[in-house]
Amino acid sequence: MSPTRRPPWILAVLATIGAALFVLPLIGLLGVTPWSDLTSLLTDDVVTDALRLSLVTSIAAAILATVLGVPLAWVLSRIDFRGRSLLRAIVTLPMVLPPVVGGAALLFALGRRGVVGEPLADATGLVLPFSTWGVIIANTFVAMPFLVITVEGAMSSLDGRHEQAAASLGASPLTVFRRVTLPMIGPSLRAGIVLAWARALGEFGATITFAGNLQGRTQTLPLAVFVSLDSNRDAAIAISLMMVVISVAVLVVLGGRWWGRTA
Amino acid sequence: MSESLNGLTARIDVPRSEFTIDVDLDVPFGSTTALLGPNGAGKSSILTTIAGLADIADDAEVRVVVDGRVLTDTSAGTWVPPDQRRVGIVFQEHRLFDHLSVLDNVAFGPRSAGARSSAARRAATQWIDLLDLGALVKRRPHELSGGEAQRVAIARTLAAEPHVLLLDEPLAALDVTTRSEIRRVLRDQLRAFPGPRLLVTHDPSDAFLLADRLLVIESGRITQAGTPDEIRHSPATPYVAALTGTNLYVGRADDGSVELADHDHRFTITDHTLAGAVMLTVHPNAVSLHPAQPTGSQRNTWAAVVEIVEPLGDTVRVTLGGPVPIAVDVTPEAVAALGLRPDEPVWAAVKATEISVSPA
Repeated sequence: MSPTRRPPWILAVLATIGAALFVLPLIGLLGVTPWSDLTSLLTDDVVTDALRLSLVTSIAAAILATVLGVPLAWVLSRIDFRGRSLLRAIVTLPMVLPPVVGGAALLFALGRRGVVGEPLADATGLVLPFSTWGVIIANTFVAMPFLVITVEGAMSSLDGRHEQAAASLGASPLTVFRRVTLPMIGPSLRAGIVLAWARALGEFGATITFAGNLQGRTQTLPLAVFVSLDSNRDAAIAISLMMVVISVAVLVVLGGRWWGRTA
Repeated sequence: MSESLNGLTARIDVPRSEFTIDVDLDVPFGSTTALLGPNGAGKSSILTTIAGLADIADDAEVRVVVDGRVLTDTSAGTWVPPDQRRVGIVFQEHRLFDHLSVLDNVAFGPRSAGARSSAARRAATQWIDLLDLGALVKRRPHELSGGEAQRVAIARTLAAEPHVLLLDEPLAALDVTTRSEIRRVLRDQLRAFPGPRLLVTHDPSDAFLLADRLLVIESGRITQAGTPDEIRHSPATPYVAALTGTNLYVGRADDGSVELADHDHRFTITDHTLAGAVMLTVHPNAVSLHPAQPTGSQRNTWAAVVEIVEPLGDTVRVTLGGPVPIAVDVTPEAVAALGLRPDEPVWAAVKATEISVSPA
């Protein structure tokens, strides 16, 4: 070890405690895992339903957050309009708001009696709360801010010179966006999508408030863990372990490629 | 200002904090005009305004017309977006798209004009071949040298088939050797380009070698306009004299001497290794004047005739005719001692070490 890399003891101690905070729960989880029953626990209907639902809704939310969030990030970084700072604050609000409050707000707006929900239900018959669509919307609500701030930051750090060059070559604003801006922020966009997807996968509070807890329709993996903790502790542990494995797998697969690179 | 149907006319009146940019430009079809001036004189702002890339302040007055088509007119509220202007621009830093190959960079213009990918690549290939970039098509811009990247940038701009060609200090970011190579490429491409060409530069040799006409710009205003020879021979301001005073010739080097291309004269130089086309510069301070043929080794001496004698600040600028036209700066005392007057004969001398030569 080189002399300059030897940490002062106080930093070393605090860093060790910090690391322990992450390592100990993992050890605890592995220690209580019922390894012999694992296969039967994880093939239970409740678990497979929740796994399927979690994958479908988190991927759908990541797609929705990208399709809506990238244009939103572009507007926030490129268009100068009154209320831009206010809009940016509102967009990032779900990152600090308790998710359960967000879920309640969604319910008041999009619920069957909500300001938007009631005319929507009357016109189309579509009722969002307590449906799979409700889960997707709750996931998008909490996940999209991560994508928007990542992408907006990358777009703002582009100095516009390449976009100017593209325009002078005859590229329309949409072509410039598609063929120059987006590719140039590629690494940040991918990081934003992964962050949004990970946040959607772990989402609990807004989902249970807005979409409820119906097996096969709105009960995602985190909700399944929560209900199983009372009724079937071993199932809760097994599902938790599965989520740890999924998360670690994502980090490992994406780690070297995306997180290490500066956007 | 008359606006011809063939060419670029621009009237730009843009107040800035330090000074107001106030210029009238008229670049005829098929000619190259150089806008020559120091850094910060407002040259680049003029180009970006013509290209529609600059924000126009409320108190600015701008009118840009290309081939009779009004692109910007603040008095009428006209502003054509940059992508519909057909105004091509080559930047100082190449601004190539690093996520695209060289071929796709050059094909970007045709693609944007609506061509399919294969047709756009075919159109790009013509320019790739013309600029001798065939070996680089699959590379990414970060894998290119500075000179290669600028050649690709020139090809990319031309492939978009602009009606006007603007060049913003296209050689300033390059090293000396590359600069002369790219200058040659530019000279050929400028000649071949059918529309008006406007070159912005702070380097007099670029302006003299590439342009038919020069506009000297200082603090946002044009202080002199004319052909390179006119400006060199009768500078209107001390700044123009200092900027353009350097005597510049092209010729062929061979074993320690340079045969000038445009004049019946041969200069002795110190570098015996140079051969082929060269650019040769002599600073007006480096020339000495004598009443009779001076003696001494390694000297270029020739009999000349005084054409113009004019005061230039603390010194006097003497323009000589004879075998090789040259501007010489001397002290007022020397003018009196030598009796320098128009049409009087005089001997000129330059040390070989005072002549700088570079491949052209």
